Amino acid sequence: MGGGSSGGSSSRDEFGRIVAKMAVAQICESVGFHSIQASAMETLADVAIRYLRDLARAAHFYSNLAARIESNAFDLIMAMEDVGPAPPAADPSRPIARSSALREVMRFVEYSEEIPFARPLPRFPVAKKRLAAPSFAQLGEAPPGSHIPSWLPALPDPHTYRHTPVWPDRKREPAANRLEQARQRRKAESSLVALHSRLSSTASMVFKDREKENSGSEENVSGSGSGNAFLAPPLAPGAKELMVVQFGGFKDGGGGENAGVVPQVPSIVEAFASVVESASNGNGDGGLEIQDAGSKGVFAKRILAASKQQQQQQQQLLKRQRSSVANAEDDKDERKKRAEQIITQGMDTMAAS
Amino acid sequence: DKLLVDFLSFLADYVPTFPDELVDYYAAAAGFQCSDVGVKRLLSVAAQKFVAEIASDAMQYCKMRQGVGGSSSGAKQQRKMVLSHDDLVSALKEYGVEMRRPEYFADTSSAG
Repeated sequence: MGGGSSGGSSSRDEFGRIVAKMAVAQICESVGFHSIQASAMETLADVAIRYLRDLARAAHFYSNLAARIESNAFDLIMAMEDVGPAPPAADPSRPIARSSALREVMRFVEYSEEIPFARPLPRFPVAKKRLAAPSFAQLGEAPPGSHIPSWLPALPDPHTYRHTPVWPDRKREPAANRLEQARQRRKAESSLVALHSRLSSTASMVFKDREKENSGSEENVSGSGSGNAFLAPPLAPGAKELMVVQFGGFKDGGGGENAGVVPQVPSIVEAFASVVESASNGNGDGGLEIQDAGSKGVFAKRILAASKQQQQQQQQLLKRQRSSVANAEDDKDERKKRAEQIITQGMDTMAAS
Repeated sequence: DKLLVDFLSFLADYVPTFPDELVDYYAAAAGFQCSDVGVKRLLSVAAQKFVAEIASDAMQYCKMRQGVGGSSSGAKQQRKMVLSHDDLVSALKEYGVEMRRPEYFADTSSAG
């Protein structure tokens, strides 16, 4: 029941089935249904199509039986009698025009209202016009042999069937190619190295200044307030430790590696401020809890207060750092300026406390 | 005979529910060839009658399933009439079309 179409024409059939489904739905609506199940609709459409086809086929058989190719009304009426329910008294002498099937159809047409199909339809299936191959005469070519008449389609062009070797078009010599490749590789390498150094510079800012504190005297711990983690007094219980900025790789190799790094921003407070800010960003309560600690907390508090003033500036700076790594030159200049600002401000607050 | 001629000419003005193009397509698929529009419309109307009969039979089944009898009024009639698959199958059975629908499918296409 579900298949319907005979081999291969299912795509053309699809349109017909959809149209039949629409027509069937309209009929159901006229009968009084508000809605119809999808599977029921498909089934009913299938049945309707089958009925149509069977009727047409039977009519065609009858016309063939009468040695005709074109069917007429009588063929159809006889087909209707075949397909429909058997008439109460099948009388062969009765004229065909009085057939019960026909009468029923006429009654149906008379009493039921006209339900035109909802949409206009094109003629289908649409035959696609195919471009015929041009003939010899149309192309103006002479056929290659006298045995070939000129009204036949022309022979295809030789490039469609003959395989000719294709040489690659080399504009440059192989040596030039190699040079070009090496140059591109070098460019890529240099940009990668620059990126690496930029990332490391932000990390080294923190650690380099820590090293400076280490190399300096211990009195700097209390005076400068940078809070070297190793030299600071132990935290009171319940306080959290400051979170160190995590930059890959540099944490472990902080000692020897950064000694040779060119100091870019020699600022104590700025470095510490960045750490504190990242701590406060990453570990929300870190800054607050430090305030509960002992002397270290006091320093942290002050630094926190100082840094909060510049925190927004710092945030902007960090954002800029993160977003535009490529504009390193501008960043460095700005950082230098900002660093000088912060140093002066930091020194003032230090002096005040 | 006159009746038939009149009817065919009447059909030429009548617009059946199955569109002419659809009927032409399926008739051509079956080999039915006719130049008379009236005959093709007769075919279309016959199919329409067939479907309408099935639909009305299914409607009877539907009403039987819904309400107890003709005594119900008001609320029951306003209930939504849906042509369900089961009603259709029962209606088709009277016409000699036997159909069985599987209750459930063990495998869905998504299950592979």
